[in-house]
Amino acid sequence: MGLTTLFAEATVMTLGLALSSLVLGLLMALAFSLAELSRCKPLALATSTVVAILRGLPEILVVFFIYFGSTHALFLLTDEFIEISPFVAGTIALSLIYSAYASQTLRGAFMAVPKGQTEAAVALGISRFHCFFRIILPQTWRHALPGLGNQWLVLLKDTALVALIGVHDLLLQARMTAASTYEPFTWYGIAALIYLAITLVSQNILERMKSRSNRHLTSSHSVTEGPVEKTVSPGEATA
Amino acid sequence: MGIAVQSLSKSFGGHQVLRDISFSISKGETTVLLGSSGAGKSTLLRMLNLLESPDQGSLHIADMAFSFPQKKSPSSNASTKACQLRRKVGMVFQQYHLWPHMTVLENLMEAPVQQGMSKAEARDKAMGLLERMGLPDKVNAWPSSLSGGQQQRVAIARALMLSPEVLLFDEPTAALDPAITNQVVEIINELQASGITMVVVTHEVDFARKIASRVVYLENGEIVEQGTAERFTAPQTGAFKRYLQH
Repeated sequence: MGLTTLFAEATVMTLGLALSSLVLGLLMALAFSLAELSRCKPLALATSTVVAILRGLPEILVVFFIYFGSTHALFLLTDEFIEISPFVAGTIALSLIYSAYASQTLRGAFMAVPKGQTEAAVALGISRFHCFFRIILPQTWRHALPGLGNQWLVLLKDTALVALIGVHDLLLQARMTAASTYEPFTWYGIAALIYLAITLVSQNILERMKSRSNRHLTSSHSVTEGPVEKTVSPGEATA
Repeated sequence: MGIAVQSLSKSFGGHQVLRDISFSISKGETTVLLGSSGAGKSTLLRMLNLLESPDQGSLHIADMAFSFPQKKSPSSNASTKACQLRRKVGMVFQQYHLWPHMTVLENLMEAPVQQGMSKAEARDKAMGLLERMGLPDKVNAWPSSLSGGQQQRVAIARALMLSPEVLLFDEPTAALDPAITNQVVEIINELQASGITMVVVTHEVDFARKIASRVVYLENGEIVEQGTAERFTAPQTGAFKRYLQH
């Protein structure tokens, strides 16, 4: 197999790991942030504790703990030796780390949506469930996107940690090729360039998502407008 | 019967904001709740839509009856009833609270479509209302591109989408300049001609005079004076007389 194929496969592995961790991590972050904002105090406290622990541990420790620790825990519980694949363990560990940080971004974003937005929906007889998904979540998204995008870039590079538990990712591939060819500069350099390329593409996509999420704040739709009677109220301008 | 309120009371913490409030409003009337800030008039208005729940008393509005404190029925039952009420009782907020991520048309269509109106029907109705509010060219505009007065009219149109029997206004002119206030007066008078029952909270006497068919004057959570619009020229209590002279 040519080195190009090997590196392409390793890149796909890195991207697959990062994207699946992102999806799982975002879902967990949403659950964590809502639990922390919940009126049920024990639930909020328990979630805050979990998040504090996750944020307080080194990433590599979480990865090791999930990979080696879960196998051990399952052995203790079931008396059987069940092996978890490094990919699955890596995805769980990375999504946990991502969700711990992202939940704080989301929590702030939820709080930044004015109360009046929900109130207007409630006053029109819109159900709470519908209000959350149609009124609150889209506005939260706008506030959270810059922070979530930042954490995505961190997550992308944290995938290199799972090379240590044997996931055949970009870093592991570079290390193996560097060792077998005695050309570490070339191969680590190539891995670095691939990480950089993914980052640049990500940044470009994030920029587009940001401007889309801000499109309602542009005044391009008001070109036909007559003299403005009054400036936008502060509540609406920041909403 | 439009609205009947019997001995409503409400406290926040230890502070009693409303004390033994009773009044009734017949169908099609425009009632102004007048008073200085802190008199409890906004809280009273929000109770008519159950955005606040009273501690004691009873409320009849739009052919539905509520009494407080509510019995320990399953809470989903109570909230379903509140939801039904809110579809008959519209509300326009001081800060409009339009949803900024939706266009004017989407703002108008959201509630009726969720409640089962077809999209085509909702669109036609929205177009008609925007026409009536003098904003037919703003259908696809974002709320942030509109002036305060225009946002207010969109908010009124949004409330009218559900064809409410009662429309509540919380300080509709507090954020508007005098010229735009007159537009709101015209809209309210036009709505009154169409037979809708309205309750308007304000602290502006001039605005109140222009729209009221009834007035309720509150001070420190109590009704000091209530009656027809003639009370503006012939107040019965010293307190209301002083307030009118401000």
